[in-house]
Amino acid sequence: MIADAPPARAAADPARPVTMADVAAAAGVSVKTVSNVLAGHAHVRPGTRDRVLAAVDALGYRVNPFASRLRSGRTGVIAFALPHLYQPYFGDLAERVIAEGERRGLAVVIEPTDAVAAVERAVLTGGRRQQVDGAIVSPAALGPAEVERLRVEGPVVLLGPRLGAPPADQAVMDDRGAARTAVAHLLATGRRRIAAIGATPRGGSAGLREAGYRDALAAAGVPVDEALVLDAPDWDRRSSGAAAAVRLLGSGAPFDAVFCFNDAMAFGALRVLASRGLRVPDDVAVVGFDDTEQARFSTPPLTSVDPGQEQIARTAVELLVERIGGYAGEPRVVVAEHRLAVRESTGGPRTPVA
Amino acid sequence: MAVTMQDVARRAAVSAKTVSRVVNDEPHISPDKRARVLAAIDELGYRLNPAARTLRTGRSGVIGLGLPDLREPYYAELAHAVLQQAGRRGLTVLVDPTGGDRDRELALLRGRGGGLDGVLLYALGVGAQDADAAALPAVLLGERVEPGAAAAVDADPAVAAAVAHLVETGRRRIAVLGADPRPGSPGARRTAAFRRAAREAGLDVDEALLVDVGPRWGRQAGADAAARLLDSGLPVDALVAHTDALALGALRAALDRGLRVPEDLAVVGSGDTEDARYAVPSLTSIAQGTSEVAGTAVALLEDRIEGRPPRDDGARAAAAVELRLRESTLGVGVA
Repeated sequence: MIADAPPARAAADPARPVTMADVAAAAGVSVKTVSNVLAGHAHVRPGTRDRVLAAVDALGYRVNPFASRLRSGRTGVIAFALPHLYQPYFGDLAERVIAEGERRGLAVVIEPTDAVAAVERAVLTGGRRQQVDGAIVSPAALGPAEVERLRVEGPVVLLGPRLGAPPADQAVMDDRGAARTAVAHLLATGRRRIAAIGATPRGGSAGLREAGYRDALAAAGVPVDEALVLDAPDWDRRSSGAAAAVRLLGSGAPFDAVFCFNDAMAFGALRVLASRGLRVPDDVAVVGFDDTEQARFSTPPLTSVDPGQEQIARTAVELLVERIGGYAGEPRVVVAEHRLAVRESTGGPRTPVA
Repeated sequence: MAVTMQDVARRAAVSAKTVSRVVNDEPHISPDKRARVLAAIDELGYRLNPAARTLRTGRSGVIGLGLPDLREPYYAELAHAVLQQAGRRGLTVLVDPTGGDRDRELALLRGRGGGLDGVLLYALGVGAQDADAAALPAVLLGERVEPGAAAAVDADPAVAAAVAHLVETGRRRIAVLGADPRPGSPGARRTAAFRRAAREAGLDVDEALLVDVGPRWGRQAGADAAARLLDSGLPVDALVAHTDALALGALRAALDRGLRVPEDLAVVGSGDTEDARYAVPSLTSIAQGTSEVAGTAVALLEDRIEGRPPRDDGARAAAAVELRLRESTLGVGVA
C-alpha cells in the first residue's frame, strides 16, 4: 500500500465519470504526467508515479480501454503464462496480477502452459501470443540456462528464479534468502533435526531454496543430515509432499521439523503427520513457502514464508507496462522482499480466521 | 513494433475501419478494396496477428475459458481438466477470469479482443436473457441448465445423498452455506435440492440455517458465514457447503471455536478437490465429474466451431456426481 495516498475526493456529480484531469488534480501533477504513468513511460519519478496510482485508486479512475485502444493499436490485454492453476501459489498470484492489471485498465488472460517446455518456449519467443500486448511468464519446464539462451520477443517479464543473464525484465523472489529465513525460524524455536521436502536435481527455485536451507543450518552450526533432504519431483501436488513425508517417516531418521519448499507440499506433509498421530507443532513443526490463502485455513494453520507475492505481481505489471510503452533499456531485475507469517504449525499464536 | 491496423490502412489507402471490416469479414466491401487490404496485410506481415491468420485459415486454434475465481480449487481443477481435453484436440486455452461479473462474462461471450474460435463459460452472472449474446460459438458449463449448449452438472442426487448420509449418522440440524436468493443460480438450485432431500428424510428445514454467503464462494466467505452461524446460538450439528473452499473455511472456523469435527459438527463440501482429500480432517465432498464435464464441454464447443449440428440432449447429460465419504462426516479411522 502507498502510505501518502491523497484523500479520496468524490467527483462533483456522482454520475459523471472520473476523468484523467480529476486524477491529475488529486495527485497535484499535470494531466500529461498522469497519461505518462498510465501509459507506462519509464521516465516518471517513482514518487510521482506512486502519487498518481494512489489517486487512481482513491478516485476509482478507470482508463477508457476503448479510447486507448483506438489511439494505440494495442489490445489492452496482457497474458500471464503459468504452469498450473491448481497449484495454490499460481491461483493466488494470478488473482493479484489481474487486480494490478485492472488498476491500469488492462485485462489479463491466463495461459496455463501445463509445464510443457515447447509451450513455454513458444510463449517466450512470441510464437504463441494471441492478441495481447505483452506477457508475464513463469517458466517451469525450461531450466534457467535454457531461458537465458532464448531470444525473447516483444514485451515480456519473467518470473521464477533469478537468472544470471536474464533475456528480459525479471520480477523475482529471493528464493535463497526466504528459505534461509524459514529455516532460521525453526532453529530459533529450538528445532535441530529439520527435514527439507522438495529438493530436485533440476536446480532453479528448488536449488536456491535448498541452498537457503543449508545456509541457515551452517550459520547455526547444525550439520546437514542428507537423510533429511527429500526429493519431491512434482511441486504442484500435495501428494508429492505426502509421499516425501511417508518416505521420511519410513526411513526411521529422527526429525522434529519439516521445511517444505512450497505450501502445496506442506499440506500433503501435514496430512500424513496427522494420519500417523503426530502432533503439529508439539512433535513436529512445519513451515511452508508461498503463504497461500489455504495456509491460514489448514489444520493447524501453516507458518509460511511470503516471498512478496503482492510486490511481485505489482512489479511484473509495472515493468511490462513500461515495455509496452516502448522502454527499450537493458533487462531489469527487481527482487521482492519476503516476510515470514508465523502461525500455529510452528507454535505461533492462535489467530482465528473469523 | 507490431504492425497495426493503421499501417495496413495506410498501405492499402483505405480507412482503418475498412481494414477492420475486411478482417472481420463483414459484407458490403468492394472486391477491389478487399483485395488491396488483403495484399497490404500480406505485404506488411500483419498476418502474424491471429486475426489475420483467422482470415486465412478460418481458425486461431484458441478457445477462451471464463471462470469466476482462480483461487477456488474447484475452478482451478476444472481449468486443468479443460486444458487437458483441449490439448488433445490441438486447441490452446486462454483462461479469462470473470469474477462472476455479468459484464465480463458478456464481454467474453462477445469474443473479447478477438482471436478466439469459441468460448467456454462457467457463468454466474449471465442468465437466460443473455442466451443470444454470444457472438461466437459458446458453451456454458456449470449447474445452470439454460437454453443452448450446456455441459451441466446435476448435483441434485448427490445433495440428496449427502442429506441422507447426515441423517443416517444422527444429524438433525443441518445448515447450508451458499443459499442464493437469485432464481436459477447454482446456489438456489442446490438449496432447492437440499429442501427436497430434507423433507424426504423427515427433517424440518429451519430457514435460519440456509445462509447466503455472497457472490464469492471462497474460504474466507465460508469462515465468516460459519462463524456467524456458530456464534448465533442456533443449534447446528451439520453443515453442507456448496464448494470445498466454503467448507474448508467453515472447518477452520469450527476448529477455532473448539468444536470437534465431526463429533460436534459434520461438514460436507463440494467439488472433491485435492484440498478436500488432504484436509485435516479429510473432507466429505460431492465429486462433480470434473473431467467428464470438461470433456463434454470441449466436445460440444468443437461441434459448434466446426459447424456440426448440435448433438441431442444425450451429449449434455449430467456428469456423474457422487458423494465421497471421508473423516469430516465419518470420523477418524473409518475412511
